[in-house]
Amino acid sequence: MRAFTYAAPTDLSSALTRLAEPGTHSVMGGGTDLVNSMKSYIETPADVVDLQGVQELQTLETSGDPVRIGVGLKLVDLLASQPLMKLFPILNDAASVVATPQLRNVGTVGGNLCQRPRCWYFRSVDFNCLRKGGTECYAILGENRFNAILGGLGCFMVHPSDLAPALIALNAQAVIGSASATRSIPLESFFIGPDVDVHRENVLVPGEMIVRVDVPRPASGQRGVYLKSRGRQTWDFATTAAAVSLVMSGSTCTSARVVLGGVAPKPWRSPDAEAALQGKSITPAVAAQAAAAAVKLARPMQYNAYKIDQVQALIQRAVLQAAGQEVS
Amino acid sequence: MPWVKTQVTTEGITTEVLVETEVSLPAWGPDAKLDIVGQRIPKVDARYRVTGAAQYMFDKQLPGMLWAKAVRSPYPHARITGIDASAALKMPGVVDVIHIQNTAPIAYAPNGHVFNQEMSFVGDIAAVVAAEDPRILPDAVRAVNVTYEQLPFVTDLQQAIAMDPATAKQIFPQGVLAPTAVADRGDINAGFAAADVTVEATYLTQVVHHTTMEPHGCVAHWIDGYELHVWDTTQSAYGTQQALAKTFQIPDSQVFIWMDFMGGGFGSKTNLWRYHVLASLLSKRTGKPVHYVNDRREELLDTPHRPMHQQTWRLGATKDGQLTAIEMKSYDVAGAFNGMFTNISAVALQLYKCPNVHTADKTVFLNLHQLSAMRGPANTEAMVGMEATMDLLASKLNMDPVQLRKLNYATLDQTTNHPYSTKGLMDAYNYVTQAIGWQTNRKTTPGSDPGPKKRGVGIGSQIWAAAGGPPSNAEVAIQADGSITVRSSVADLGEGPKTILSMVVAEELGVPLEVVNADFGHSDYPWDLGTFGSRVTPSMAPAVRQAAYQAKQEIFTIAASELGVDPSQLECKKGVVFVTSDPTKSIPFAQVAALSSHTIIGNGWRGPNNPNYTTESFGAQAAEVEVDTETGVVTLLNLAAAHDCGRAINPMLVESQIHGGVDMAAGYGRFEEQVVDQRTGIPVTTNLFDYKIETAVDEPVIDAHIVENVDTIANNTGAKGMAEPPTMPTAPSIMNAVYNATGVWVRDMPLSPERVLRALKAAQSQQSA
Repeated sequence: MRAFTYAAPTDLSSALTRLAEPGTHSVMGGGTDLVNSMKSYIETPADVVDLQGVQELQTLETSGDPVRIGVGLKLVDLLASQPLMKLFPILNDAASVVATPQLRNVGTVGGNLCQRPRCWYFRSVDFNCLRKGGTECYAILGENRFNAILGGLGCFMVHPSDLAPALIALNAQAVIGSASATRSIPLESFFIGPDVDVHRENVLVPGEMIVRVDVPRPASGQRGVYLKSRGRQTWDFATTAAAVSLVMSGSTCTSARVVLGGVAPKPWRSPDAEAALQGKSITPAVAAQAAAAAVKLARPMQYNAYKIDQVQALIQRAVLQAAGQEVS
Repeated sequence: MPWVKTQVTTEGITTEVLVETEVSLPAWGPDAKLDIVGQRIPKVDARYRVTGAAQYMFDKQLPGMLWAKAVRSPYPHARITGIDASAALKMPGVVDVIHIQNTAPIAYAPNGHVFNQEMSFVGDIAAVVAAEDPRILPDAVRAVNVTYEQLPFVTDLQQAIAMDPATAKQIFPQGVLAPTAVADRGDINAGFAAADVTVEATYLTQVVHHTTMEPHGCVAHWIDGYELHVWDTTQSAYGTQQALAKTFQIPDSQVFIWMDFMGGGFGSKTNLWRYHVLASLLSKRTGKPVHYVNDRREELLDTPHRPMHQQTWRLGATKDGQLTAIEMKSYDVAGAFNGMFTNISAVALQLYKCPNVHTADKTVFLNLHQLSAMRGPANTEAMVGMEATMDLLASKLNMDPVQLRKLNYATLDQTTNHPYSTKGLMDAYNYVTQAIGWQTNRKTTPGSDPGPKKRGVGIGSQIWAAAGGPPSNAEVAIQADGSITVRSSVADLGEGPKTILSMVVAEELGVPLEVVNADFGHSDYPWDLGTFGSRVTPSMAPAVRQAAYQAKQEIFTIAASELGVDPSQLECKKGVVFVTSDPTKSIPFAQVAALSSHTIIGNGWRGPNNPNYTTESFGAQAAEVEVDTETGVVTLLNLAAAHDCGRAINPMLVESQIHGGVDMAAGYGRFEEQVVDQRTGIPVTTNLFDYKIETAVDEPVIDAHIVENVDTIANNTGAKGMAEPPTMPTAPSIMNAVYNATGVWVRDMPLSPERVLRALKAAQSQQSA
């Protein structure tokens, strides 16, 4: 890895001041992605700011509206919070399938949202792919079984986060801090696709970091489910995933949010699927229609057409489960 | 004792060995009253491994030691046009950089030389850097400037098959396809003519890596003109010693390979590797010890693997299910260099009774690292094609797959017409079908479960040469206090020879297990050929038994004189030597040892194999799966495994081998594969995340059963080899179970969700078409 300076501030203000200084900085939560990325020369910061000592980033406020989740919280902390898990079972679904228990003990919310892609061309020292500053996306004509079926343009990575689709389904806000300002934007808008910038996955510019995720308290009748399909039963990213949050009134869905994972360069919100659910009485047929709507514009690559069927199955199951119906 | 020639079959390859007949000892038959052998005893060194006390090759630290790392080719086929190490050499702490331009050629098989002008695969070695601190190495390696001229390459099997010979010769002097190796029995055409039913299918079995927990490498210290010491992780200290001495043209007696604990081999550490030579060379040049160990990316690029095969099987049978013809044609991918175990014909020729067999193996060369043996080489891969095609035949005959297998049960070794010394395959079939609930859980109509999640069961078998044979040698030394040291170059890979061989010694001597210490893995001890081919138990157990027996004779001679009796009147149990007819006349073993004025050493060796019998291990496994037909995920619910290993010297360790083999093979069947980007020839699975090994969470509930079948024809301990057999039936049983669950054949391994979904979709489109 490239030689770097290291700081471990104990308050947020110091961390943000440091990020504003000239030169490249990376923030570190648990380091479970950053350290590997530095060893592979994917990340080459001149300075690493270790946030593990910044208590302000580790607060969890579950009694107010919105619920406030500090990005320094470890995944194990989220799962251990009974109030949080009771408010948002979809977060339990998502956090509990991230990585492994060991990684959940160390990895943070912020790190999970800001992690870099898993595309093996991106991760490999042997390829200088488009996203890393090279001239070519090797997945296009190469081994693309895990790559995107939606939203790809030039680059066909899929966003690897499990928390992101679930939080976006909950209509979360991302609170972004810098030395000069704090701003709050929908988490959905925090992520960007290659159509905006092929070199990064979110809106953060140098000097900025995500500091908090705010989640509106659930409406009455709100139920959410996150389903993830993967090869092995642990330590595997989603080949496809579906986060579905419905507000139900009896068997009728009054509002829906559907966000897909593992299929696109950013967590993929599907207004078409939502439209197919809103105002409807949820039945297996309606769930299937919503699933079909979600993939209507999917464009398979040579080896990933299976994702189109696989994600539809997850959407159907998640919709039916969120609607309170038993699924086999 | 007289010297004779004997046949030894290891990993399917038969050689002739000149060996001294062993001292005749009464065989431990099925009714032998044994105190220690046969007991369930945890590994004697397990505690040290799990607490971290065990020291491995990597842990060796010597004063002034340097650390080494290779500069590797980024191209699958290239000629080096220039090497400039000046920038690297200027970096503080970098001591030496060796490559083709500054070293004399060193012959090294099969690559030609240790340093070659031509790089043959991505990861091939262009240069090696030695530095004072390992943290300097990644940047130092990057600072070595190697220029290449890229050459035509091929890394895709289909491309190689279709390639015109002229283009192929630009890549490899021998072209990309070797002449076909053919084996025949009977008349294959007559066989198919006599068949009422014929089935045919093609399977693609993938490259999988050994992924030993302990990486490859060594620490070498060469005091030039004196001795070369190598702390190694090797399955054959003896083989490595000889090969390293030969490479540098120094006497064997100057080369020492030492190993204490080892973290896995599975067939990838049986040879002399380049790191042995390079570390030694650097040590000679610098005068310092050199530590050279692969990182995980290098493990997945520059170590061997189980080869890929495209196997086409055709079976012919009468309408009653009697096989009349077995034909297997396979493309076997060697990699850039040839190696053993590309030929996978043994299963077709041996497993099932059939008068007409034809096999054709064609080795294929691709610009990838070459293969090596990997746990049950050839048979593990061939078993997939054999067993899945048997189930295809069973379905066409409308016959139960187990019934079909039993009907074609071979009571003889059809390649030699010798009887088997023992064969427990029928018991194995019976056990696993009972254990998996074959009658209730097998779908008589495949794919008939309603709903998207469908269950089914499938079966797999195995056959594997398990006689062992010479050379295997040991000595048992009795210390002055009566404690025992067992010495041999044999390697304990982690699977437990230290334990079972100590048990055999303790049993033969009649002393408690606690006083026996196994000191293995040193090339300067009596040598054993190596730990591979499931040969250690049936080869070393008789050898250490004889060594213990010989040492015991000296103890009895001394004790006899102390007790005033003839040595033939004595026996020893629980550490006490006594007169059999009058046990009150006794003397403790330790006391006798203290009386001796010379070191009591008993020598033992493995004698010849019985020429009139074939000794194989046999087994079967049955898998129950649930296939989510909408996500493609195959969950392995239960797996029953029954293996015939002769006598189980330590049933706990045999079961451990079964668990380990099934775990590995479940990954072979469902997750693991090397993936290569074909446009660049670069593997993309060069870390342990993208190369997906199964985890404990993925494993099924395993019912491990030992079919005890004490085989005293095989050797006087009654034990056969069992290290590799458990990996063979698993993937076939999963493939067959997936068919039973879904009614669809998935013949492209591994059975990952995307492959299962693709196959289900293709079958659906075919149906609606």
